[in-house]
Amino acid sequence: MSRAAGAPVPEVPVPEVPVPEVPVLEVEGLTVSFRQRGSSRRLVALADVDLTVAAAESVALVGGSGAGKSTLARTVAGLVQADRGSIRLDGTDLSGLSRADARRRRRALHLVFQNPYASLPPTLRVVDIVAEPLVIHRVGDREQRRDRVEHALAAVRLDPIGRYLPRYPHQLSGGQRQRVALARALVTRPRLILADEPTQMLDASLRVQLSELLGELSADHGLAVVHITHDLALAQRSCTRLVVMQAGRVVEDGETAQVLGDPQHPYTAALVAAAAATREQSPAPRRTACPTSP
Amino acid sequence: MTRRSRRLAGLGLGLLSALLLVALTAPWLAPYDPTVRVGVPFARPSAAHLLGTDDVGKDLLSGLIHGARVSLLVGVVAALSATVLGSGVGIVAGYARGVVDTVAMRLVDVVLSLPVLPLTIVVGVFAGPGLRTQIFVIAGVLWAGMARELRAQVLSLRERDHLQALLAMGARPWHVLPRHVLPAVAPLIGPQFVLATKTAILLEASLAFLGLGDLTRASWGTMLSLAHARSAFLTDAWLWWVLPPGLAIATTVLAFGLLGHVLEERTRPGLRDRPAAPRRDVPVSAPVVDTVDAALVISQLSVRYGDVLVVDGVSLTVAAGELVGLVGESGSGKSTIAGAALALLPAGATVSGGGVRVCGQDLTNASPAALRALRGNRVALIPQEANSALNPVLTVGFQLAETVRAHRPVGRAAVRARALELLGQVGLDPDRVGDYPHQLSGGMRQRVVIAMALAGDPEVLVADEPTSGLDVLVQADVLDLLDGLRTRLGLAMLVVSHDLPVIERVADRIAVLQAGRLVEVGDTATITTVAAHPCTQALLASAPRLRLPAGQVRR
Amino acid sequence: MSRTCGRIGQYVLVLWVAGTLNFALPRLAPGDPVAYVYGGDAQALSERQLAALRETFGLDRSLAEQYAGFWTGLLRGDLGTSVQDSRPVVDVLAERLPWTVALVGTATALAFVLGSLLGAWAAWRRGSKRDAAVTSAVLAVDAMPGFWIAMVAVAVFAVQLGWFPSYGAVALDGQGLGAAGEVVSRMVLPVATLALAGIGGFFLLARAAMVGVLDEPFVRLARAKGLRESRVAVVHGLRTALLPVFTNLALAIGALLSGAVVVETVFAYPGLGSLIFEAVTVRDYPLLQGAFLLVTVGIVGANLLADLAYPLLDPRLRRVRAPRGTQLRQVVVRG
Repeated sequence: MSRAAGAPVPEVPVPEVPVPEVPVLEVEGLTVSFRQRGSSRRLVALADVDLTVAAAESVALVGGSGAGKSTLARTVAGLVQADRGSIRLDGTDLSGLSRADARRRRRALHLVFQNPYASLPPTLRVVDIVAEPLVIHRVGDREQRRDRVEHALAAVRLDPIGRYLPRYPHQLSGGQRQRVALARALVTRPRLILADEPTQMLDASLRVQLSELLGELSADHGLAVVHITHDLALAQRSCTRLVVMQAGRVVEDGETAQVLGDPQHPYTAALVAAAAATREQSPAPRRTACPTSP
Repeated sequence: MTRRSRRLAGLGLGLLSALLLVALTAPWLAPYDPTVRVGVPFARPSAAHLLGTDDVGKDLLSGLIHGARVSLLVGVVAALSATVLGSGVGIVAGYARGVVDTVAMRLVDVVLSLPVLPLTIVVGVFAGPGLRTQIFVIAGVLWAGMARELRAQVLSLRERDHLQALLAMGARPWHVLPRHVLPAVAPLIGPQFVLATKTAILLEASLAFLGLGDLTRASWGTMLSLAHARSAFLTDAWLWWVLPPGLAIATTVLAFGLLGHVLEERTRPGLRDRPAAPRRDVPVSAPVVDTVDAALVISQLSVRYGDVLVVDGVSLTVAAGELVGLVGESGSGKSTIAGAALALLPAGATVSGGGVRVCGQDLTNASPAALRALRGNRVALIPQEANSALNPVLTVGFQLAETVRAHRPVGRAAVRARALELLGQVGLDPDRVGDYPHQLSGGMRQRVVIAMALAGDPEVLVADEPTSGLDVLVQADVLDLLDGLRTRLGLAMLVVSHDLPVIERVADRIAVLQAGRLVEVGDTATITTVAAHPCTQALLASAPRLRLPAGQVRR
Repeated sequence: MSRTCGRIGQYVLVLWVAGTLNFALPRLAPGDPVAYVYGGDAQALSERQLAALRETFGLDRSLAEQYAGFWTGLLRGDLGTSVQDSRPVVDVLAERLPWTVALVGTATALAFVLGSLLGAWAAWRRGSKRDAAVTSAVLAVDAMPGFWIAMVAVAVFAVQLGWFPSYGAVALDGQGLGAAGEVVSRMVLPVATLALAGIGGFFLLARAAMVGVLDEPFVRLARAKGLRESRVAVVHGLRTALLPVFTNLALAIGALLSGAVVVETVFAYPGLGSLIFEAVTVRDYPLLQGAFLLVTVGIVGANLLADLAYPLLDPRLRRVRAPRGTQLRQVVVRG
């Protein structure tokens, strides 16, 4: 390596198979149900869900808890088995493939978890954490992996890289950890990133930075991003499209500005109203109190 | 590890090393060969035979010394086999899940349901007495408990995000098991092995006592078996024939038990010793001298955890009918201040300066009885996460009623009427009075804890992140409820939140906390528009506002 | 209801395994299975006599036939004949069972109440000197083998002090009220020994559970509501902490039954435990197997009772309440 550690060139991971016409992700009629404990009935988590995400598009997936947002992401990532429906990645239907082939295909996507304190293996150093997907899929030799790790860390603006490489997760702040998780997502040069409330556990000041980073990555690198959140204002800032879910169904799907400006579904309207009420200018104070502190 | 744990572990280790030394050097340490007649039968203790002799004239002390070898050998080998088998089965079952798991766990449950000693006896009788039989049957019953324990650990480990992340990356078992699962459960296997050794030694003694040990080798169990057969406990001989082997077994088992207990505590923080529940909050320097007459007065409050100052000279007042928001990032000391307002600090935290006054009464030097009379009565708490703040095994009505009764000596009917009235006040169906917390939704549970806070007609209400963990729509409802209550009942309300935009909707004034210090206090409009402190600005900037086109409908 | 069904299936499986173990052991053990069934000195018999015995016990038939025959016999309550006193095993067991039930039942109740109360108390005072003292003492008692405690108890309380009789369950010449008193006084030492041996498990479990519960936010809220400390400790702490201890009650009965084997032996108490010991000493295989089966059935029964009782104690395990109005119909459909 010719570059000195600490002064990396922020090269961008280039997508491997750019096929602009075909959407990166096409989900059709996806239905998922879980067996309930101690009962023969099944709980329907996703009912006939359709979702299409194109390259360089960042989609916000919003809805209350239990709406099925996380289940959708986990099913696409292969962690949950679907009852029905198809998942196409770059035009290839995963359900028609063997398990090993589907696993190989899924290298094109990466799932980022909600809790940065839990999603990184506590016993590995940053350099090994970010390199792990490459080890799993046996990509490159040591040198090449190291190179890719540094590129990925540069892309998520962890600077200087040399200082972070040998650290363990517990030596990092929440925001730094989530950046490491994002770097791990980028290192295989995926086409699609599914981020499951990646900012939920972070302090408010970090949320905006991180979600904007996701938006930038999408625009700069042609990545398709699905950003699960329940914060409409965050979605408005960093996502081009807004998909609203309720009780396992997609109830609204459209351009962010359009959905927020003119919500069609009553649930979306209620969400927008609640968010707007929270952010509205405070009424005139009811009393003028004297501060007791400087 | 606490000092006591370390001392116990040290004691266990010391005893074990001594035993091991005795076992290893037994042939040299023991005065006689324990399998040979060296004296007259039933000899009393003497200089030649310190513990006397048995019914055929073998030296009892030599038997005792050699017995350590058998006990430790059987215990350690049986426990080791059980550990290897049990952890293997447990890890594979927990990781593979599905059919493998079902079959393995059925088997484990069967083994655990069979009576341990009768089972080992039956198998032992048919297999014939001897050390190998003992090890075989003991390992055969001990592996199951371990398999169950490890399977549970691996199952929950598998659901953790970092393993789910690996699975989502397409990692195969041979990558995940050695690199991520084994290191994570290894700290658990240690104490399991030690505790299994303890059980194995006790089982060995019981088997030997029943005549299923190796009769040609001296062991503590066989010594006691002989003593029993010769009715040694009916004469003075129990003092030197019965007591020593039993004490030897007890000491060995205790040594393993102490070590295992301490090792297990380390892997389960819940069992670790904590300081006892604060029985009396440490009295501090000076009582609160503040002339401001408000419902809640916090003046120059400082709180420390050990050496760390988590709240540093905070002063804040909340008047009747006023809602003050206390905001700050995580770790800024918000919840500590909320706790201090009821003199309910977490274990280990102490008020190191200043104090709190509620309705004119100083909390810092109040007696436990006086505090009890205040809590729930003049000042009440709405805790964060109503789910864990409600007792899961008591009905909502019961928990409401006990709060009503805590401060008012009223009859059954009146208590019930009041409970129903409270439920109505927070917008809950009175029919819910007989429900258990798990039967309610998150928003309903939050309403129940609010109702509980109102039960004693308090003047001051302290809400600690009352909307965290709730859906956006429910959050708005709960805030509206709180806002309505304080107006209707004229309550002084302190609401702690990490979310400035959430609180600015209802707060009259906002106090911004950073690293235990109050950096800015002011009325809401001022704070949100002309905030001066960088921390406040950061909190504001961090909260993106939803920009809606003009004319958008509002609630 | 499927939970209970699953549990019952589990118990049937346990009983099947225990029965099959009984069938398999004599046939897997070294030597001629006849020796295990016959009990006498099989070596002394001629080949003709052995063959005759094999026919009598059906050992000349195929394994499948033997297995089927074994289960039909078992389900009819035929456990074979005791070698020692040539009576049906079932009769011998029936004679001994009540004594063990009384002994283990009383000891379990004692150990449960004392152990869990003491454990909860130690947790309430956790970290204090008294907690350390009590916990160390319980750990020490827990380390002692039950039969040794029994031997020391006999030596001290029966022989040296002469407070209680040292063995047996009834006086040979007792009658009426005096006999009843005799039975009680002969039960004191075995029950105390067994309870002492079983207290450790309950104590450690209750202490750990209570420590966990006391850290729960609902205990903090109970204090914030201004409840008395005693109410916080009992209603919110103990009430909740006892649940996991109770779950373990059935398992603990298994451990106490094991303890009964050695304790009864020392006290020559006429229960199943000393029967097992006698059967081991004279190698009375049918009797030993019968006793093993009976003890297994006892443990399965205790587990079943605990399963049925548990939902009464923990509302979270009760059927989820159906929305009003549909409740009745749903019960009908499910029931």
